[in-house]
Amino acid sequence: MGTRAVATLSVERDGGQAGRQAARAAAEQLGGPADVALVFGTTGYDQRELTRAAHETLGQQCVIVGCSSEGVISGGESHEGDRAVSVLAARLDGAKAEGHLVGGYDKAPQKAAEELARRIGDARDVTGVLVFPDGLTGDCTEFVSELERRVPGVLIAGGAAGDAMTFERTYQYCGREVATGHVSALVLRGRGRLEVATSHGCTPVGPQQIITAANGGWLEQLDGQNAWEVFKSYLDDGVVDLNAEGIVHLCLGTAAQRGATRVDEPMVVRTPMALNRETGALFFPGGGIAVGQPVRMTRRDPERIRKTGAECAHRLAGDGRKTPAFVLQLDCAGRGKILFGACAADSIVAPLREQLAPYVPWAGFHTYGEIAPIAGAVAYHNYTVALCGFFDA
Amino acid sequence: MPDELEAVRLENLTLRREVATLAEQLKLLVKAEHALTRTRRAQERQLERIETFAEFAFDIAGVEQASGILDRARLTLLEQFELDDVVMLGVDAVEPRLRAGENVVPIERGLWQVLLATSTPGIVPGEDPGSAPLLAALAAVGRAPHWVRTLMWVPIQPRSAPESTLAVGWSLRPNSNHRDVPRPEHQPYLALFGGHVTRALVSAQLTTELRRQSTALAQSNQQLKASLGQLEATQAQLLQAQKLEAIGRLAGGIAHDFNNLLTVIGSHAELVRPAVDHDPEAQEDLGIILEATRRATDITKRLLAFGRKQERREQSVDVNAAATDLSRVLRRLIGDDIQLQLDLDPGLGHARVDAVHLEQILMNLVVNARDAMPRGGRLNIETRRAVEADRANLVPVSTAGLIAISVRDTGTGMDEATRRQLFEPFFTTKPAGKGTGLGLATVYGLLQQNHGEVSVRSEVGKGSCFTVLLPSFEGASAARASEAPPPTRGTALVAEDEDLIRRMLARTLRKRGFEVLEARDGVQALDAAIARPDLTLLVTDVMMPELGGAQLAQRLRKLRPDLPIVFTSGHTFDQLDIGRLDPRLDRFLPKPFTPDEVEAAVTAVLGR
Repeated sequence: MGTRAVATLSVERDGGQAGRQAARAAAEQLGGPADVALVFGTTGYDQRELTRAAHETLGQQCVIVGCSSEGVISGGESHEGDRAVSVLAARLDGAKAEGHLVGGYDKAPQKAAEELARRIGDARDVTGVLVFPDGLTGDCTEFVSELERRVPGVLIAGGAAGDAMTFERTYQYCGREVATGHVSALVLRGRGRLEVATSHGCTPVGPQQIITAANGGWLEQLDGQNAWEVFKSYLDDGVVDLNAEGIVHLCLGTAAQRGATRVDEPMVVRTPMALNRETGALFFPGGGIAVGQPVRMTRRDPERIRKTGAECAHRLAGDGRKTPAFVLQLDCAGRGKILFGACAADSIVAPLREQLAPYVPWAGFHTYGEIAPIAGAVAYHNYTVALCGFFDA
Repeated sequence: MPDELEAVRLENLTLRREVATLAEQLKLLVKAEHALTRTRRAQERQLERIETFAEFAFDIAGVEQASGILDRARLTLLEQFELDDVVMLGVDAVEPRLRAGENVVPIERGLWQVLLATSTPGIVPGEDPGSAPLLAALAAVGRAPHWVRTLMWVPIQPRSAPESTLAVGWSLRPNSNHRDVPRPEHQPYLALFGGHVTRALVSAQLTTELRRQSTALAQSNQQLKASLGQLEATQAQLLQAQKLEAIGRLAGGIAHDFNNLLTVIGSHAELVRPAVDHDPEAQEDLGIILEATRRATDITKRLLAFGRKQERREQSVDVNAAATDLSRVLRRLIGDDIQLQLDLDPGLGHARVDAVHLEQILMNLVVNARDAMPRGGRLNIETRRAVEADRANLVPVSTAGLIAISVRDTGTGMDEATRRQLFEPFFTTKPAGKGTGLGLATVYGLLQQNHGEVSVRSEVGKGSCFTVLLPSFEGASAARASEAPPPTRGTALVAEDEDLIRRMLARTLRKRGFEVLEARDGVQALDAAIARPDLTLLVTDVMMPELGGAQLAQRLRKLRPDLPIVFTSGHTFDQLDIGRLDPRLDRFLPKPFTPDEVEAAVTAVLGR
């Protein structure tokens, strides 16, 4: 029979109505109860009403995992408005889903990873783990490293929860629970397998530089210069804050290989999300910013985003030889409307879907950080797309 | 080697400088790109917003309900500025009151005046003093948020509206370049937006008013058309009535003159009959004369009826009883091949009509129906309270207090041309010698005389329906005249300017044993009466030279209040100005009359 999945969307203004509408549509299209559902909603909604409605509609038996986001993806659409909810629901064939909500991520991400690994337990039949940590707190680099260490050989992917680019608060969902500073996780076991392909859309523009001062995700100096001053030298005159135009324009490229002395492709792209105007330090919420680390300034490249995104989907489809039961697109919040305007889906969703059958259920969200393997290790990225496909065989 | 090393070092240095220069140039390019990006993004946002507002303006242009416009305005604000909520506050233009949806609350006058005076949009942080009046207004209608990061408002003020509107929205989130939460630079857009909404409301008001006026005009036009139709119908009826009136007057005049002659001819033929008892041939001739006189009298009577000059005695008549009584005669009249059916409303009541006239009317209508069904059919007489439809071809006035009698046949029916001439005397569709053309003319005349109406619906091949409307006589009971007492002898004064009639009257009264005094006019009669205080009877023509019968009677009554008087005339009683008759002492005898009718009238006045 195979896995049957559907992707639904609601843009109702009320959280309860939106959650109910998207969940009901999913249940109706599935023609029966779902085993698992990924729910992503924007922060214009009352998060508790949203998840409660989805939970009530999908039923107790359905494992629900998800998070808040800057915007959602459903089918061929991308909604980065104030209120949108995306539901990807599936009835599994021989696979089993578990949902987990682990606290303490904000304060001790390694311990959170340890706890999640403990809950996963015997990982021999685990086919993939999708994680959705708080995108504003916690060191995601530490978290994924620890998790990878504790469940070796298990594919780990995911995206950091976001808000409406106000960088105030994000939410993680599991069942009808909603939390902040947590990580929610979906563990898939049994039949089927999860595969991930990733790509970024940046081009290095400056010489390699070395982080000379950093503290807990805050980048203070590059080559002995104030980080913000270095950053600002690539930005338009008169920029006084790390506004959204700055975020999408300029990123930091770091080496994919831990301990590498040069930054070359493949690289991990990182984006600062906050500025301390007094010290000029830049905050990278996912962590992974350490003294002595080589970095390069990179500029975003819309053409490259389209091209590498399509290549990424092509890889996931095994060069067109296989079709996933469903696809989860985890795309950076800085690569959607803020870069491509109102028709962002034409650039970041459509070229990818073209590489797969149009009927493949497709959902996702705009993240504050993408989690996907690169160069043999799971990394926390920014300004990237991580495309996860679930295959029955 | 040192030279080579130096050359390499220098080349390396040059390359490093070139790389650094290239890096700087690249940085400048990136910087320029960023500037372009910012400008493009800002322009895109402006364009998006302008497009959105243009779409909004286009969208609401066709909305005619103010509530619909304000609902869409609220949604547009919510979505464009990604607000957490927007409340549309209605500020009463006259009283210090606020409205939010159905909720209307009085507010403090000072706050009201501030809200009324708010004519420009604003965007301020929640803690800004400028937000205080708006927050107070929201609190007054129970819609104040617990906390506001940014507050914005847009005044919507259509002139002459009973209330202006303040759209007040707020965001709980901070300003962001990514999110279009309202910022001070959005103020021009809010002004533009407010203008769109205001114009849409004004336009909706005008459209509604225009539609209302258009509807009123259309209704008025309809009424005018209906009135015109009624006027044309009335005019046609009036013309018809005038035509019939003229014909009636002519017929009545002719009949009146003929009546005098027929009275003389008939009376004298009667008077001479005893003298030729022995001569059968003369008797036969007299019989022919009397028969011809009778038939001529019948025609003049019908002409008089059409000309409303037939004697009328208003009575309260039980229409159902009259129809039932008459039906026995009618069944014989219509024959076996026509089925007569009576459909009588038991609660009908009485009509105000001359009972004899009613019989004549029904009789004529039934005869007319019979003649329309030469091969038999159904004839239905129905009585009921009149309804509007009964007078569909007449001016629509109330039918209250009217009784309807319908005579319906399944005969040949009539075309329009026939219907138009139907009531004209001597108009007939029957072969020559088969009809006088006076039947329906008689109906028409009698109804005119009895303040009734007649209407007809007919369709060729399907039959006709005549509906008679008569005024009802509520509460009255039918009355029939009682018979006169036996005759009495005495002195009678006959006042008549027509010699032949006067002589006939005198001769008749003498035969009855009266001593008869004759007068040619009223003055002569007055003198004679004064000279004879033993006068027991006055028989007087009403229309006489010098002194008319009515004046003569009036003056004699002063001398002899109990003098019995018989008035005669070729006109109907209604047409004469005799005044009120004393039922104990007076009788009116219409011409033509027979000696027997004279004697009966005399007996009646003397018998009481």
